[in-house]
Amino acid sequence: MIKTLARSIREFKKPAILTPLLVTVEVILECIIPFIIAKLVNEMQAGCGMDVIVNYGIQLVIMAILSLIFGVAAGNTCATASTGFARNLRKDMFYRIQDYSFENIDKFSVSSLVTRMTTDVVNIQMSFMMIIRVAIRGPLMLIFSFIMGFAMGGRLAMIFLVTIPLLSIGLVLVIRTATPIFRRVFRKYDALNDSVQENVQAMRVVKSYVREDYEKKKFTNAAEDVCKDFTKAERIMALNNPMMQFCVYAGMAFVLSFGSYAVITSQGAELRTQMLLEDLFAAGLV
Amino acid sequence: MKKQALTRRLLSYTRSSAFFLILAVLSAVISVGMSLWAPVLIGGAIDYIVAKGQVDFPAILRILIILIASILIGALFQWLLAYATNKAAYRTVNDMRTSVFDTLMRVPLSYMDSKAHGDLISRVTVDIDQISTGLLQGFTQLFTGVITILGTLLFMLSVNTAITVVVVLVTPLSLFVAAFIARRSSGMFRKQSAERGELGALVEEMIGNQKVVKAFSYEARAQAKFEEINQRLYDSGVKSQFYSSLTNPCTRFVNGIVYALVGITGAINAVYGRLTVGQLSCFLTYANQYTKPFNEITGVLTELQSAFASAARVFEVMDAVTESSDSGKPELTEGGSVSVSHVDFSYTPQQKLIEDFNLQVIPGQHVAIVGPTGCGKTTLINLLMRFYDVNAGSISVNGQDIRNVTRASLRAQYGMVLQDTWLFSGTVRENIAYGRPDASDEEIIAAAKAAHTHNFIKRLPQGYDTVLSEDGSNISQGQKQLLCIARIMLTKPDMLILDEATSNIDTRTELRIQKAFAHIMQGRTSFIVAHRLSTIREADTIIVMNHGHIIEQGTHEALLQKGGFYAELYNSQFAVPADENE
Repeated sequence: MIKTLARSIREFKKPAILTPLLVTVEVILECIIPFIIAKLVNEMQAGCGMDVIVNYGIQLVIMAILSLIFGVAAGNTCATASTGFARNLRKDMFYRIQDYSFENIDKFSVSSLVTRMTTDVVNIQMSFMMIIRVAIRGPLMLIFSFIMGFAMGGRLAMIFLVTIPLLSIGLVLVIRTATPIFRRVFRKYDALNDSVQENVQAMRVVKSYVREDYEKKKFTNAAEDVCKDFTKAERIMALNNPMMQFCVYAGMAFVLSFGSYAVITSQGAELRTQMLLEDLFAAGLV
Repeated sequence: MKKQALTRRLLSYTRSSAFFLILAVLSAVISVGMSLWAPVLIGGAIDYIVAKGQVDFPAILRILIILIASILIGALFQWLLAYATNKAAYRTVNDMRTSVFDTLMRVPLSYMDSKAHGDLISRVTVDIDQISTGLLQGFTQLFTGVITILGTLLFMLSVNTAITVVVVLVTPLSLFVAAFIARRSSGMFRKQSAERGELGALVEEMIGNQKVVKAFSYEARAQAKFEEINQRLYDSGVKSQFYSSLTNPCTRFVNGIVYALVGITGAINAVYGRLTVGQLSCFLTYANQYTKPFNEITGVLTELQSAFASAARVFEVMDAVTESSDSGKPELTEGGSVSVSHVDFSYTPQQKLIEDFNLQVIPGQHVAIVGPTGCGKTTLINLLMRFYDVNAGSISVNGQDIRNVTRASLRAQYGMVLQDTWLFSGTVRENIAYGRPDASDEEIIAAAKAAHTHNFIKRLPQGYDTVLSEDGSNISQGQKQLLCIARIMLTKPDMLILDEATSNIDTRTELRIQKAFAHIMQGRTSFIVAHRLSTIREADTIIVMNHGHIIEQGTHEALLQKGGFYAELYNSQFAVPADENE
């Protein structure tokens, strides 16, 4: 399936490949910024003058500007690649459908074909965009934060190797426990909403059998059930944030206890991990 | 509704979860306070690291213990906050949901009929959902966001004024940038979706009419037109995607600049001894996190905005006038005689529908109602069941004006099978027992047999326990009607309102329905909206309606002899020889 889709990229191969490369450069530049700050702190400790500070300041601004340029460039190539891909895909589909036999059109129905050519293509386009630009960012961020952490704190950065897997295990556990509850409660919730529709549309039947009170009671019970389940699932999900925050600060406390300035960058790495994991799980839940 | 009144009313639903709300605010204050304190503690520890090898470890250890404790407390309260807000939000929304459903069960049918069903349903589902999201985010992020911003400001001010000023001045920049880009790109997105619609329309036209397209060899031109729109969609797509993709690099850039500025001003201050390195690290942490609550709050405000709009829509339903109470009124006595005298009725005052309508029905009589579409047949049913009240005149059952007895006792005496068959999602058994949930299995099966649907049910995958899908699309229209008849067989009402199906039913099922109708009508006062000649001919009396009036009334023979509207109708619809009819 992916092969068939990829065939529609055609002339947009270049921007499609360029995008992740540009994103990589952007991420590297971004990871260097706290590194420079930490170096500055070290220099200050050694008692440097204003000129050195200004020098560092200029470096920081240049980094930020470069990062912006690469980020914008990546946005540009990504927009061209994904939109162009969608354009080709629609064109290919239209040509193909025009050659369809009438039987095929009846099988798919016109409205479903229209949906496929509009909504579904948009979804593919969005996924494509996510893959080449957004999804690649997270892992890259993690890798370079790691590298930076090691460069700064040396072996102290090993703490990441402990906290991050621990955090991941914790998060996975929470999600694994909560997901089935969520799935169940969503099913119940759908049923609850369907019953609203039934009652509105079949009002004459409800009234003719004098079942208003019965329906009210049924609905109230179902709603109560949904409400309880939701709260239960959320209560488990609510463990995520405190866990993340705890890991971030525990890592920092560890680094601190060895008396290292690496604490300044270590925090950056942990926060990024946290954001990355959040994104990943948000995507996983959907 | 005014915004203030709306807020007050929305908040009144939170009263039952006041405890959780207070708990949420308290938890927010504590958890935010702890998370703000941590960078200060870390900064303090850093200051004990004077240089390589010169580290005051006992002092650091003391701070570390406090740090760990504060982190633990913070984490605990963060969890409590999430728990309490969820509890409060879901409880609040649950109260609203049941309350609005309660209203829906009590409004008169005229309300339901005058509203688009889809709209009503979405008010109880989508809008309630929106309120739930809004409240949840409002409770969590608004509380923590505001407290974080205030707390950060206080902490920063207490450490160093100059850097605080820098942070406060520069951070709104990223918000402005984001807002600017959003404004620019929204126009592009509109254009894009318009072009997408255009493309969809073209595809629909070309594919829907493929025969014509092919017959006139229009393919090449269709393709050219398609490609032209496709290209335009591409152009606007690239622009909108590009603009919206700017948001992240731009806000990151601004944040990077803020970070750098704080670092530099901090460093300069540190050089002059106005700031310790530890305090600088503390500021850097704050600078990193300060913008986050701003972004969150903007997000929450839009959510709240739509939550308020949704709440207004939900309250509108709740404020609908419900059916007038009939508590204290007597129950309708059993019987089966109906008398309609001098009834006037219209749905809207402008358009008169039923005028001076009179009808006497003795118990057990079968009344066939005949007439062209829109003649008032459905309206008559609405009035008999008191779904609507008459404007003038009166309807009496067993000598009692139906407005002077309870609606429940009136409706319970009628059994109704309409063309639109309504089944509920649930098992076949539950559907048959809808009017009498306490019915035994034997009674249900007996009813199904009487309705000639028992054999059909037995052939279903799980027999009586087969779950009918939403709107019962897994069984045929005719079988649905038979199930509805079985429902009535179980309640055994005194009077019947039947609506003969006109189409979509195969002959065999139709025969079964006819047999079931005939069976159930025995000895019961029946009103039949009739389409079939045999039903009409066998009726005790035929009412011929047109434009809301009874224009003729009598038996089949009498009416034919009269040679009026009925005779005309009969000749045009039924008297045509069968082979010509086909």
